[in-house]
Amino acid sequence: MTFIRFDRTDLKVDDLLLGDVALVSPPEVYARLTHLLENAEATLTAVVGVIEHDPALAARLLRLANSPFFALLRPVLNVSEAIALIGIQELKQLVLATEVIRHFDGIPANLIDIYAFWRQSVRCAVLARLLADRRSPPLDADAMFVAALLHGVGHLVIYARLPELGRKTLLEHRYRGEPLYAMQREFIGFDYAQVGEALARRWRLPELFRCVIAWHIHPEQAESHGAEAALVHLALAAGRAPSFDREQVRDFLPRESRPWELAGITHAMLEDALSEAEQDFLAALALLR
Amino acid sequence: MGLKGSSPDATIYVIDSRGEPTDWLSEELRRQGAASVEHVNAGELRARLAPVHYGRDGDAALVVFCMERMDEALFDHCRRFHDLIEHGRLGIVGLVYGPAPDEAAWGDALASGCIDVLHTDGRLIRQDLHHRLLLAWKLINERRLRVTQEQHYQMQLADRRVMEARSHYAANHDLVTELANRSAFERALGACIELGRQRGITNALLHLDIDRFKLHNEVAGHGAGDHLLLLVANLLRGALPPEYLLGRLGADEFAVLLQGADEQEAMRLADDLRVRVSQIEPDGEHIVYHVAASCGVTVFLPGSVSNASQVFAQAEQACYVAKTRGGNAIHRFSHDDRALAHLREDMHWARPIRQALAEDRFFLAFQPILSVAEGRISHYEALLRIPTACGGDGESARFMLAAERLGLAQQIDLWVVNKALDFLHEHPDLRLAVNLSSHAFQEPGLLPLLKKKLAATQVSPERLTFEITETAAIVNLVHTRRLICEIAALGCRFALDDFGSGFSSYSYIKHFPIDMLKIDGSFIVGIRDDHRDKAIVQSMVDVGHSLDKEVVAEFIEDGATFRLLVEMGIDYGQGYFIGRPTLDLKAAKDRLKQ
Repeated sequence: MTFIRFDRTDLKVDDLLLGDVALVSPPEVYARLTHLLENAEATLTAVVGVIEHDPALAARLLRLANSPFFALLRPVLNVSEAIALIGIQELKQLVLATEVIRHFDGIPANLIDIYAFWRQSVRCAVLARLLADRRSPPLDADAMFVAALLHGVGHLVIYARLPELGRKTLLEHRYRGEPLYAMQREFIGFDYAQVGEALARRWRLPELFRCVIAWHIHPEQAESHGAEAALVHLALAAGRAPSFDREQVRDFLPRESRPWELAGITHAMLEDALSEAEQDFLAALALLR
Repeated sequence: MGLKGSSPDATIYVIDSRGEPTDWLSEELRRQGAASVEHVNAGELRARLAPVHYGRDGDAALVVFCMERMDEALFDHCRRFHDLIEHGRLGIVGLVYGPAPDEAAWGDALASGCIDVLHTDGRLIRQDLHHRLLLAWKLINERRLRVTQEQHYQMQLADRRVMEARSHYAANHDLVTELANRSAFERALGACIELGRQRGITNALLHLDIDRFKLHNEVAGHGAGDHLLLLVANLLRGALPPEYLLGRLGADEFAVLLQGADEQEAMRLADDLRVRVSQIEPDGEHIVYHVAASCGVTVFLPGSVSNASQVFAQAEQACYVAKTRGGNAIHRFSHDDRALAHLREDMHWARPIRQALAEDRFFLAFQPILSVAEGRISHYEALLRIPTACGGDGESARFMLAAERLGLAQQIDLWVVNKALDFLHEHPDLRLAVNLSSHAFQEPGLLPLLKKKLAATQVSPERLTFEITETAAIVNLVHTRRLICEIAALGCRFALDDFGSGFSSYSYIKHFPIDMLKIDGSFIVGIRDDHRDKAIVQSMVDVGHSLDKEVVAEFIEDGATFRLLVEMGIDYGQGYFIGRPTLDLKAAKDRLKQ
């Protein structure tokens, strides 16, 4: 039987992005770093200069570098030391994470609790980082951290551009018990992963990030980076539990074996990761402060 | 003429793949009019240029890439600076120190994004080098402007599409609950009716209404109403299969369209929703009272209804019936529903009554009552009328029941009391008996109004008689009795109307401060021919007298009946024989004097 429907918009993903210059503009410092690092001869001084041009960002990076999250052997006093100890690519990714969080400060508080949103993303990111290390062969843990942190960035574009539909999909998701992405497809016509992917393209994010954002809901459909997408899929599911307690997490894990196989992660690895997650999570919250 | 003419900040950057100094080139360009020429490597160039930002303009730059012969390095640079080239922010011009490259190489260079390839083999090129660069510069700027312009239109278009989607959404949804609003729901219902007709599908509609919503809203304060609405909306969301459309039709009315549902399914779901709503726990803040809802159900077979408003009306009427049964109930619409006959009557009267109240268009007719002992008209009964222009035919009996069911009776009662006292004030020689609805003595405003009005008009209270019926007396007995006693204590009089029509009249005479009994007209009409009626009336007269009550007989239509009743001992007579109801009291009084 055909059911009467009248809700869905005829919008395209790009409509959300293109109409809003500020939103679609890449994070400033990250874009300048990328632009600069595209050429091999870029000097350390130039890189440091770009980061220090934004003192608030620099301070936040230093705070993060000195947090137990990196567990460095000695305190880091300035940006060039941070680059030396953490690595220039890693630092660039942290710049991205820090700037994206700041980028979406303007979401109306009555729509979603933006702090709670990022806390949830950090939970997922921390688990992704721990899982990346435990896998064999391991994945780039720091990249996985940032990729997982950004997996849901498309939600924020939806809330910023379509607040009413954003609220509707949230209500339908919460009270009908359907996945949020499914409600977005039903009422908007596309989901946050599609929006996030388009944003990643516009921002010229690395392929890994783009694929994780695009495919973490259905990693088996990934065109590439399926393992990373599957790993974030697991981390996201586990991160939804109210705590990192393994008993509580168990109920939230995917039952089907496909994502586990694809990610190369076993239940034992996950349980091992959970034992360190709380500590890492508290340290990584420095990103949000 | 120089590049400065086109862009004040324009610098020509020179990259030399051979790594040899090319000072002669800078000198030559300056000689030909270039404002600024700088030698850089690719890395330095990156650092000088701002990154491309969608929707933002930026400076453009021109690069001369010098090479011995057509070199892969040129393509490599074009690839590296692809983003800037694409946005018209950078133009790369190849300069070959030697003979002209062949056509194929030249084509490859242009295909890779290079804007032009020049060569130094020949004085002509050397001489017009700067002119050729100016041309390239113009091309870059045109490209940049075009890209900027395109992006601008693209942004406007995208933004308009988003705005349209949002306003379309807002036009079809209720923004408190984010459910379909009435107009969207009505469209879906219309489509559903049509689909049902075409394919022979039975559908159903539920109309769910929160009981005493106004009370919740008023008691718990601002925002509490919206809170409750959202709570109920979310409860319904969670309770319904996804294919059933849920909407909010109005203030506290929700509707569910059940496509393909039969009566059993519809009733089951309606009751499930009712139960769920009744389980909402008061939270003491937003929700103070127990929450309940009533639900009307209508099942419409293919072709049984023609439009959405018909279905809405059926479900709404069924819901109304559920509400009149005390709420927290469900009811299914049926065409031969007796409860609905009342409802239709009520619907018919709702507008005229509201209108008459709002515009003060009710009026009173007066029927004389004769005192047998005095042999003259002692008082009048005031009869409520609604103007026929309002759509009614005037008689109060017809609309008062509807008014009671519609909850408007108490307002009418207050109007009657107010008007009666105005008349008594205008006619100091007059006494009036008024009829109030069965709910009148539930109205907390009645006593204060009466006291205030008596004080203001200085009318003596015993000139006003309230005619009450047994049914009025038994509603909330204790409360009614107290109020009647208080009014009696003011000095007003009470008559028990339609005496004999009920079953337990005698006990009321004992418990209420009644001054008069009005024998029900049905006993009077046939009294001359029916000895049983005669016996009953006689007994009522005797009982009344023995309890010290005066007795009135109404519906007296002829002289013989009147004489008979006088013989039987009545104190007052009323009916067409004595006088018909009249609007013009003065004329009636004059006529009676004759």
